[in-house]
Amino acid sequence: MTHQPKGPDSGNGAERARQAGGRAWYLLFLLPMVGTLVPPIYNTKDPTLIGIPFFYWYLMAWVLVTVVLMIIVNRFTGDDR
Amino acid sequence: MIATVNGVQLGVFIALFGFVSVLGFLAANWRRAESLASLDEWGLGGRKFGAWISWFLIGGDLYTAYTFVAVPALVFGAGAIGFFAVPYTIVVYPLVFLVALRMWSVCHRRGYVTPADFVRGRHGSRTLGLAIALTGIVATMPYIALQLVGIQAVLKVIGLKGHWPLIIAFAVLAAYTYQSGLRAPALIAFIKDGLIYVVVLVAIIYIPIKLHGFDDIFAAADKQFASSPNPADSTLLAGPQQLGFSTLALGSALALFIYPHSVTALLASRSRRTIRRTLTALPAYSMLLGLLALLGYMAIAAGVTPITTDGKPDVNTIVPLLFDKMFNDWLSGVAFAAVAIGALVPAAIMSIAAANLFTRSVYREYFRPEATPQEEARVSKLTSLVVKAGAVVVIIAIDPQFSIDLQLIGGVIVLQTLPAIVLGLYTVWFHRWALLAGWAAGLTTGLIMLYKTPNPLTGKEHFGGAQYALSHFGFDTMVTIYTGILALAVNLAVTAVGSLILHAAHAPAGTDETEAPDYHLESDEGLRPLPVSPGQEAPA
Repeated sequence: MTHQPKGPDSGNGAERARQAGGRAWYLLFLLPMVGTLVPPIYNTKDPTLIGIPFFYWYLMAWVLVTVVLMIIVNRFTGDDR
Repeated sequence: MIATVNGVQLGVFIALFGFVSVLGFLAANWRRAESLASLDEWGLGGRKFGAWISWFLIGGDLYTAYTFVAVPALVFGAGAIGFFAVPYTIVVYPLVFLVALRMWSVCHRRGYVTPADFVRGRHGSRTLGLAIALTGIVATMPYIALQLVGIQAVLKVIGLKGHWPLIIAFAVLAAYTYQSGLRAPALIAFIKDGLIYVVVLVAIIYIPIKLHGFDDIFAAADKQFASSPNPADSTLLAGPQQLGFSTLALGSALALFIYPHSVTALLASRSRRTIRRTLTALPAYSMLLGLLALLGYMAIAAGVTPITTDGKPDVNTIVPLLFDKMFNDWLSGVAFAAVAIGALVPAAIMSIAAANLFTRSVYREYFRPEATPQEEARVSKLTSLVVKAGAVVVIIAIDPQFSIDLQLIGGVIVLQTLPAIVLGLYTVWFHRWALLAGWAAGLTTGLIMLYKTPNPLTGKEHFGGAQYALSHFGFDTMVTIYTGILALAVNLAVTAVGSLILHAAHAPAGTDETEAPDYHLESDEGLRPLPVSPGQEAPA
């Protein structure tokens, strides 16, 4: 039984080194958090898009941005590269 | 308009509903295993679903009838705050991406079927496992009931009165879930999502044209909110609402992927690679959800008024009513079937997840440690029936008007399992007793805060919503914050401080039966799961 009372387990040393390069890509995930969870950025009516207030189309646009970010992270962190 | 039953609508509805029911029964033979008599087969569909099936299954699982009925209803009634569903289902995917892969690997390697299985094995505490399992079951129950509310709203608009259609629908669902397990919702999810995509795309193009564009739609909503007595409703967030909006979105996202049914759908995937691909494509559903939410404003512009039952308006009927008003009978029949079938898929997965929790963490752990896989499957199948019957009783006995609040209460509760599950995926530094104390503290404060929340609009004094006013803490402000996040903060604080104290006191840590490489298992190739299933090792 491996019991580790302290610290996170991140695999053995070699594995850690292999993954360290890819880890930074996960920072991209902070973008949708900030972009969608801070309402003062987008809580306005203008500019509207085909009559839809900014608040609504801005949030929906983040869906597309998040997909792109996930594709990037998936590509550069994949264990199955 | 709806005084009598519409024959065409009802005919289309019954035909589609009947079709998926037959599919549900036939699903038992789909990708057939030698026997369905184990939780891996009945409860997880053989753990072999590829990216396509997983995409439909997880999408069908996460985007429930709540999506189609309650979110537009909230936008209809309260405006911008209802759009929290969009940031909620955006931030959930990066969060899931971070933990789902480790979760899948360790559960696949160790034969865990539920998050509670993992918690028991990782922290070496069957009490903690039991706490996580019971919390999951209690939180899932109102979520299943919420699916019934979706079906009920549709039945009301078709003109069917009384509770019997709902009972029949759920009896059929219960029967094929019993028969086919997770394979049934996985197969039906294809039909469900296909119908939903068609209906929403037609609705989002056709209805705005008929209502003279989005300018007019939002103008009508602004006019409606300006004349309403509620000061908080608006097509933009009022200043004090903003923190509540963000914390609700974040808290709901954190809760979503630790719900037992989410984990069930996730664990049915074939490999880590499958999960990566599936997760990357899942936000497509979030776009759909955003478009659906806008139907709330279209309902305002179209002059829809909710159906009144027993003197109370049922806001959940506004989307079916909008379809009824805008579409011809054929298309509205298809739309109604889409909503109802959309309720069946998650309801089936949720009942399977709750049943697996009971079987693994209560039945086998405390009553029949020597239970065979066949016996486990039998118990799970029976429990899934009990769970569904319970949901029907809940919905018939309780006022379903604010179904979204039922789900929010469930979200507050399930969030309290996050430290044991998610922190546990990364570290065993947090002590099992501290995790248990944090869970209890979070649950208690969460429930107290929910109890102290009134809803002035409905006149309810308690359990009026999941937004906690900061004025309770002595601040002179209108600002509210999502109750689940506050309770989780208490939970985490108790867990961290408790762990420090217990480590200092050299309290015995639990025996971790997992090993570091377990969290990186790619797939079955070249490595079979351990033959010994958890619980059969020597007791800790």
